[in-house]
Amino acid sequence: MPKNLKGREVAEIMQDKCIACQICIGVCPVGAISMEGNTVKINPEACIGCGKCRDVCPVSAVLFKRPSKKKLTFPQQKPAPLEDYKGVAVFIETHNGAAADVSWELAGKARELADKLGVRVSGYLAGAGVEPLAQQAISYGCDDVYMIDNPAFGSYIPRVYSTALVQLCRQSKPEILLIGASPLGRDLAPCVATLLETGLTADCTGLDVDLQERLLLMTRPTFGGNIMATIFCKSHRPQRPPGPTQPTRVKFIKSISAIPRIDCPTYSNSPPLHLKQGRPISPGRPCW
Amino acid sequence: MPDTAQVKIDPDTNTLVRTGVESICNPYDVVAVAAAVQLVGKHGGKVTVISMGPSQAEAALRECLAQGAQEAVLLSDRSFAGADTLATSYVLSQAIRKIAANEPVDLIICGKQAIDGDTAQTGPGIAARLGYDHFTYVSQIFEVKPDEKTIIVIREVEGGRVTVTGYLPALLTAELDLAVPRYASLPEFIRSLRQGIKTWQAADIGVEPERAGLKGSPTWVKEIFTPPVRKGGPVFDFSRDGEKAVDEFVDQFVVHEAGRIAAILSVKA
Repeated sequence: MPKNLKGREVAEIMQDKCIACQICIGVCPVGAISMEGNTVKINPEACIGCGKCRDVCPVSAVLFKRPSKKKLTFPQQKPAPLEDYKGVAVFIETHNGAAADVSWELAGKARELADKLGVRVSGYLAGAGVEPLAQQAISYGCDDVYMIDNPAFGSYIPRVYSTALVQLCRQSKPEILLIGASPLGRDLAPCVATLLETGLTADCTGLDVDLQERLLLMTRPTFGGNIMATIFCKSHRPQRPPGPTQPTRVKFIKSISAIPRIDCPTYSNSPPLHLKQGRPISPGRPCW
Repeated sequence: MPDTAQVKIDPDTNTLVRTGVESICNPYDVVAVAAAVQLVGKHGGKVTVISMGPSQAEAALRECLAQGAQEAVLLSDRSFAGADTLATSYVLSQAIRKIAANEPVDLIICGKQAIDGDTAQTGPGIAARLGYDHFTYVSQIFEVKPDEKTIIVIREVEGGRVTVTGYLPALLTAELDLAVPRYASLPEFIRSLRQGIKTWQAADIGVEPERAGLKGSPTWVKEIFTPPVRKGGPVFDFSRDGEKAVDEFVDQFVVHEAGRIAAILSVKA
């Protein structure tokens, strides 16, 4: 691409292709194109590099490339490589200090998947006054338990729970996260998946792993249960322009479990997060 | 969304074949529109309906206009096709950002879930992207105070209901109880057919093509199959040959099951 003395990229006519139709002379806004004998010439010093001559040329004889417009780019944050994500995590849902049954069921499933993959099972335990559940989680199959015991987690507030879970995922980097498909889980999981920019499959009825590719195969009924679909989630790391978050490898909905308790990271003493953003006023009347 | 009664799946990409399938409006979304129209009737404002889909989705949007929505926007672009919930929420949130840049958005109401995928993920996903608070499974909007920018809703949760308050702007997903869709009046119906529907493509709302549609979807469908037929339990018919039935029963439950339990116990021990 030739440049003129001002350093501007200008158009040039490829004389071997030009048929001297003179259409470009008519469209040039600055009159930089003229006939010199039988050939068309562009005066490079007059040319402003608008590219209009290229657009109208019927035989593509104008050599010109538009300067590429600056693309909207996100701050390039390198996502952690896939291999960094290891282990199966289970979110342990609690209500009034007791764990939801689905969480323990998931713990069993997580154990099974982790044994196939040869990795550890982590339990993500969140709630208020849930310390006794940590030991229980271990007996249900978790190897580690990350516990968040904070009054702010007493009732479910999406922002509080999802922030915490996203933090936990970034820290402990599980390759699989299981969340029970309870009303709470179905609310929480999409937030977490969106913030982590990773895949989520709802309402799985079957989970298995593909050991060769290290993929989680998630089977779920769809279209009103008329067909079953098996879904997997390959990492998008290289192609996905990372937004403000890094992709985790795989995650889906449904399940939980935990075992030994390693530590209680960061949260146990943190101030309540954004509690005023949505506070339960009163528990409603049970509907049964 | 396509009418779930007559969908087909493309065998190559395992995505939905939408051509030739009549689009219907998701029943939960009809309720959401009705709730929005009622709120606007009470507090003033404007209802804009947004849908992402092929051009057939226009029919569904016109249905919403007939229900009382003032404006309709269709997000339609080849690059949006084949999206999973993550990519869908991205495109929708970009469109809402564009709308919010011109006029304030106070409340987004989504249906609780679509009746095809039943995932219930897109609503919370949009809220997470926009940084709005969200309330899922809302069965009643108790009170909205536009001046104080607060909203009080009743949510259906496990084992009961909770009353929750939060700040606007917020997003909520509607249960069928939230509102009763009304019949469209004739003038409204005529207006819905005449009104123009804005169509926005990827470039209009600043969507990066790599993050939308099939390309931007982390989940892929590996296979689709019919659900396995469940076998009934064993039947021991005592009316014909009582002794044989008893033998079979004992064999099945005492000998066979006991053997399995013993095997499990010995492994654990």
